[in-house]
Amino acid sequence: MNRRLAALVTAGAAAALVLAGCSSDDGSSDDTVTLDFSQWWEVELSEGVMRGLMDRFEEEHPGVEVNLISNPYSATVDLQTSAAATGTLADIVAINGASVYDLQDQGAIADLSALMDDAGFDPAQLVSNDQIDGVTYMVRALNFAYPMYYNTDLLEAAGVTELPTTWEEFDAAAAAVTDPSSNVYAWSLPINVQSPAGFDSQSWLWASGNRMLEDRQPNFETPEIAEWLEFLKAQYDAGYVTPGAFTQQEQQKVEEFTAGRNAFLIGSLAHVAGIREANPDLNFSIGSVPSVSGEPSGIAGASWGLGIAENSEHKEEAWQLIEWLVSEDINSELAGEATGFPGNASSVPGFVEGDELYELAFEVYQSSEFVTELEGLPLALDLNRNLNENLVRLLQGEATVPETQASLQEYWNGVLSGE
Amino acid sequence: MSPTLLVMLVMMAVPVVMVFTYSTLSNVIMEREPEFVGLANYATLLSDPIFRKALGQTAIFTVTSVVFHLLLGLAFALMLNSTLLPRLASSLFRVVYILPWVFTASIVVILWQLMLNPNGVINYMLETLNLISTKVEWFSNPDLALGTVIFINVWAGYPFFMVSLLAGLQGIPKDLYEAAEIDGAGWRDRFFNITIPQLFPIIIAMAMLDFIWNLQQFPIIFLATGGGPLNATETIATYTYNLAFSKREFAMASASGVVLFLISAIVALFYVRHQKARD
Repeated sequence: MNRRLAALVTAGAAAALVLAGCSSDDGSSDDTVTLDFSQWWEVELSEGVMRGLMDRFEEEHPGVEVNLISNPYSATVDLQTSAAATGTLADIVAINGASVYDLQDQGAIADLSALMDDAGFDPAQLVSNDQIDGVTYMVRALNFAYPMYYNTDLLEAAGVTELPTTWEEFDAAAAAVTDPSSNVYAWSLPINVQSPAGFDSQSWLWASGNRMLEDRQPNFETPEIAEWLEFLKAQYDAGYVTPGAFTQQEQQKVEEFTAGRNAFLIGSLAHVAGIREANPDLNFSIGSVPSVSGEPSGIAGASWGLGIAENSEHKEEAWQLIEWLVSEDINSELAGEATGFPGNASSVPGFVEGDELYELAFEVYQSSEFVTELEGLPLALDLNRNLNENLVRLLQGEATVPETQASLQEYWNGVLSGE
Repeated sequence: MSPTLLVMLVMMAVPVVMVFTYSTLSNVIMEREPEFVGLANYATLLSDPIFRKALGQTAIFTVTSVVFHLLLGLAFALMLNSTLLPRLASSLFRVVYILPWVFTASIVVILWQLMLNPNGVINYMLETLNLISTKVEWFSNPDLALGTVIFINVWAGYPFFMVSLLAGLQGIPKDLYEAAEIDGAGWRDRFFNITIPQLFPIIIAMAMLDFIWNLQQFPIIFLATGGGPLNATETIATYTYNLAFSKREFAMASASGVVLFLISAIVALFYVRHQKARD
């Protein structure tokens, strides 16, 4: 009898565990709605910023509580992939252009156009309203521009008096600053395959007004792409790129610049504060990524977007939180904290005024087209990984430029032709 | 049904059966109504040269790691067990030698990334000693990457062998050595005729367990190289991860996972038989 009782209790406990894992509700008996918000933002913002914002939202919206589920970016993406498959996605999910297509394809995220209509929200308030087949699945809360950083001390010491604006000028400056005996290289080109997140290779192409795609289909077999690949290969072969490129990661690239071992860095504006804090003596400036002609036309961009889970039982409340986060004042505040540009067209990030570097960056951002070529594509992460694999093969000397172009065209065509 | 059986059913049997089932369907999870495709995913997998390369590299990674774990673990255990070492020094070395096992995989990888960085301390030392003239790219050179990752894995895993073998060494009766010494046996005879035979059951059990663990090693490889460059460090674990989380081919990832499961299961079967024979 005791055995049976023990078995019953164990079975009950196991079932409760399983069921508890499946539930997204907090189980509270009152009318309070708890929204689960899965994001990487809390990890990247200063301590307490994200929780502080949520506390203010809760004060302004009685009866709604927000439970932050915070993980680093890559872990958030992996968790969302698994959760989307099992229908357990958090009510609100921080997403970006690299994951939005696949999540909507799985039917895991909700139609925000309908929710905007129901709430009387005018999408014209947003800087951009990205849609897939005429439907909005993601609202961009913040945009991040990727300008070029210049170590002015290294450039001056090498006799480079003006910032390079063309690839030719950059090549000359790179030759002047590179000094392997002092561990100084012109720039870093992290093309790893585990977290292919940066825009270090693509920025050169986009700055020159060229693209990898045409009408969302691969367009690699063009003279412009060949010229771009040859430029990267020439930089690598000349030894201007920091050794270890094939497994170098974003953070290591920033460390090389911060330590004064790189003269140039293509990176998010979010790095400014970290570089200043880690090396207050470093003198650096910000400008456009050099282009073929010297006329910059495109700047790489990334986003922090928001979506709502299709399986959420509290879509209305979830939309309230999104609307609040992209409202003019809150969005300005968030942009200031994250050093990004606001998703709300009327918001102005506070950090721009009074800081020469940010003013320069804002000028670059405003004078260039914001390029997010991979965003909204299926398997965007995989395409980026394939690009890096092909670049490694090219730089390693295992493929020629035409072979690289053909390989990219074939793989990307296989992914994108079914769209 | 006993509670143990129920817990095993929920925690083990259900996920295993699900993965087996997924491996026989078309792109499950991404497709709303996946179809039964039989063994087609396995055929695709086996025809992929990168999978076959990953299979070979998994074998190299696993066997080399187990062999060096054993050799290093045994060497350090013998040293710590030696009566020549003062007690204080022995205690200090025990702490030092076990340190790699205390760190998590991410700390281990960050530590070695810093040291093996082209501008890192290892290259600096080698350059200072005039052993190299150009900076060695330990992770980025496809010819060196697998060896580098194996080295890190060996460093991180040998203390487990060391601790277990040290416990085994301390359990060997002293009178066996005394009798051998009276018979005129040298250190080599005592090592090969007493120490090794006495430790043999532990060595076999540890080697089989270590084989299974290394077969599935993921975090060290993924954090260090992600399987690259040019698939030089691709193992079945990283290959499976990329199929699922990069290419979103969950059925193929399941098939790859099943292959790894079957290889592990065969070794596990030997381990269980070995343990039963001991009992």
